Amino acid sequence: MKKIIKLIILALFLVIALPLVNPEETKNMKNTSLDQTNSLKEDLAKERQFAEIKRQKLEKTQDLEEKTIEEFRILEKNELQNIMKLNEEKLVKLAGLNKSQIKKLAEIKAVNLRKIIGLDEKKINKITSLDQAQLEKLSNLDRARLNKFSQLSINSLNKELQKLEIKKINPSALFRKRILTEQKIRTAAERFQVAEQNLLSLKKDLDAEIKLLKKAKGSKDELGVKEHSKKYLLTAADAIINHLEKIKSRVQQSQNIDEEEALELIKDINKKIQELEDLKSSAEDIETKDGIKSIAKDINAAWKRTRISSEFYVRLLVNKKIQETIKRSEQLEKKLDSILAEIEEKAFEVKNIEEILTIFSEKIDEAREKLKESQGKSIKSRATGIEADIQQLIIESKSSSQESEILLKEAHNILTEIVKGIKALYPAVDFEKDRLEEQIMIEEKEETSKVNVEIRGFLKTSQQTLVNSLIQNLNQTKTNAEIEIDATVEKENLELKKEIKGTLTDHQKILVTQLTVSLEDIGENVKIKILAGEFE
Amino acid sequence: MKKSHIALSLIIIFLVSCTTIPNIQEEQQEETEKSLDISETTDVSGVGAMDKELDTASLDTLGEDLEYIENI
Repeated sequence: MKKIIKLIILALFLVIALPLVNPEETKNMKNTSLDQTNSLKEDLAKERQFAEIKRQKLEKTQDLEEKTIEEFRILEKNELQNIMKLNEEKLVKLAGLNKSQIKKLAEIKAVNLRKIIGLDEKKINKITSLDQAQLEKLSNLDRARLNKFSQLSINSLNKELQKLEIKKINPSALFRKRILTEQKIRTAAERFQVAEQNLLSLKKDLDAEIKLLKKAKGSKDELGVKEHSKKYLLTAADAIINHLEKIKSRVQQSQNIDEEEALELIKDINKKIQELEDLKSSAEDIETKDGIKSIAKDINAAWKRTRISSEFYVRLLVNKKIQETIKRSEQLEKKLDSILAEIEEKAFEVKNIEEILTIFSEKIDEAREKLKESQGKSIKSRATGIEADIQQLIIESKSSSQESEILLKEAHNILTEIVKGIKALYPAVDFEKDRLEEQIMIEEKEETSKVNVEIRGFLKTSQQTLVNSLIQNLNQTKTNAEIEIDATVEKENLELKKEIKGTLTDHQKILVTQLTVSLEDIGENVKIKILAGEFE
Repeated sequence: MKKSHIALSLIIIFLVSCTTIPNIQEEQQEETEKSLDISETTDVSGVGAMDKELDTASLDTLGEDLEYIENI
C-alpha cells in the first residue's frame, strides 16, 4: 500500500514538474491551443452567419441552386451583408462568376456593387482583373464614367484610374472654396448694382457724346470737336472702370473660388482700374487735339487689353459655377443610387428609374467634358499673344462653357423626372437624409503643365514664335526656371525689364535675349511670364 | 332616433373631412417643395445670367468710337 502511495506521489510530481523543464514549449502549446479555440470560435461564428444569410436570403432566391449557394461560403460577414442587399437578378448574376471574382466584388459596398453587376459579363471580367484599390475607385464612379471606363482596354483603364483619387468629404462644406459672411456678400451685391446703374447711364452719355462729336466734326466746329472728344474719353474711361467694378463685385461675392485666387484677381482688376484712372487724369489736363488723339490711343489700347482680361475673368467665374453644379450633381447621383438601393431592398422594381438615372449621369458627364474643353481653351488664350488667336480661343471657350450649361439644364429636367418617379414608387423616401456614400468623392488629380505661360498684351507672329521655341526647348531640356519679361510703354518711352530665376542653357539664353530685343519696337505694354518647373 | 344618428354621423364625417383635406394638401405641397430643393442641385439658371450681365456687349462700339477720335 505504502509503495502504491509512493508511486502515486512520484507520478504526481512528474506530471507537475514536466512543464517546468521547457516552459517556452509549454507556453507555445498553450497559445496554439488558444489559437485553435479562437479559430474554432471564428469558424463557428462564420458558419452561423452564413447559415443565417443562407436562410434569410440565399435559399429564398429561386434561381440559386444549393451548389451555387455554397460558393458564397468563402465570404466574410461584411461581404455577405453586401451581397444580401442585391436583388434576385443581381445575386444570380454574381453567383454565376468564379470564386475569386465573387470574393473581389463582395468587398465593394452594396450601392456600388449594384452598378457593377449591372454591366455585361465581358466588362465584369475586365473589371475584376483590377487590383482592389483600383476597383474601389472605379466602383465609386458615376454610372456614365463607370460604363465609359469599363469599355477601355485594361492598360488604358488602369491609366485613367491612376488620374483619379478618392477623397473623404464633408458634404455640407464641399462646394465652397471659401466662406463669406452674409454682410460681405450683400455689400458686394450692392456695389454691383451701383456699377451697373453707372454703366447704363454712362453708355447713354457715350452715345450722346459721339453723336455731338460727329456733328461738330461735320460742321468743322474745332472747339466742339475738342470738347466732345474729351468728354467722350473721360466717359469711356469711366465706363470701362464700372465694367471692371461689376466683375470685381462678382469675384468678391463668389464662394466658388478660393481666397488666394480671389485676391489675385481683385489685385489684377484694381491695377487695371488704376491704369484707367491715370489715363482719366491725363485726359482732364489735355487741351490740344494731338494730346486728345494720343490719350484716345492709350484708352483704346487699355480697353483692348481689359476686354480680353475681362472675358477671362468672366469665364473663370462662370466655369467655377458650372464646376460646382457638376460636383453637386455627382454627389446627388450617389444619393439617388443609394435611395434606389434602399427601395430595391424593399422589393420594389427600380429598373426604369435606374435607366433615367443613367441618362442623367451621361448628361453630367458630357457637361464635364465640355467644361474641361472650355477651361483648356481659356488657359490657351492666356498663353498666346496673337490677338486673333486670343479672340478665337475666347469665343471657343465661351461656346464650350455654354454647351456645358445647356447639358446641365437638360440634366436638371431629367432629375425632376427621377424625383417624381421615386416619389411615386416609394412616397416615404427621405431625400434630405445624408447617406454615407455622399461622403466619398472621386476627383481628378490636377494635371499641372510642366511649362506654364501667361502673356498679357499682344505680340507679333515673330515674337510669338520665339516664345513657342523657348517653351519647346524648356520642355526638351526639362529645365526648372522662371522667366519674366516686362515691357512698359509710358509717354512713348519704353522700359524693358527681364528677370530670370534658375539656370538656362546657352540656347535658351539666346532665345530670351532675342525675345527681349524684339520687344523694343512695341507700342503697347506686354508682359510675358514663363514658369517651367516640377521636372524630375 | 335612427335618422338623427345618421344625420349626426354625416355631420361628423363632413367635419372630419373638412379638417383633413387641407392637411393632405399641405403635405403634398411640402413634398413638392422638398423635391424642388433636390432639383435645385442642378439648377444652372444663374450661370447664364452671370455670363450675360458681365459681357462686354454694351460696350461693343467703344473700340470703334475711340479709333474715330484717334484719327480725328
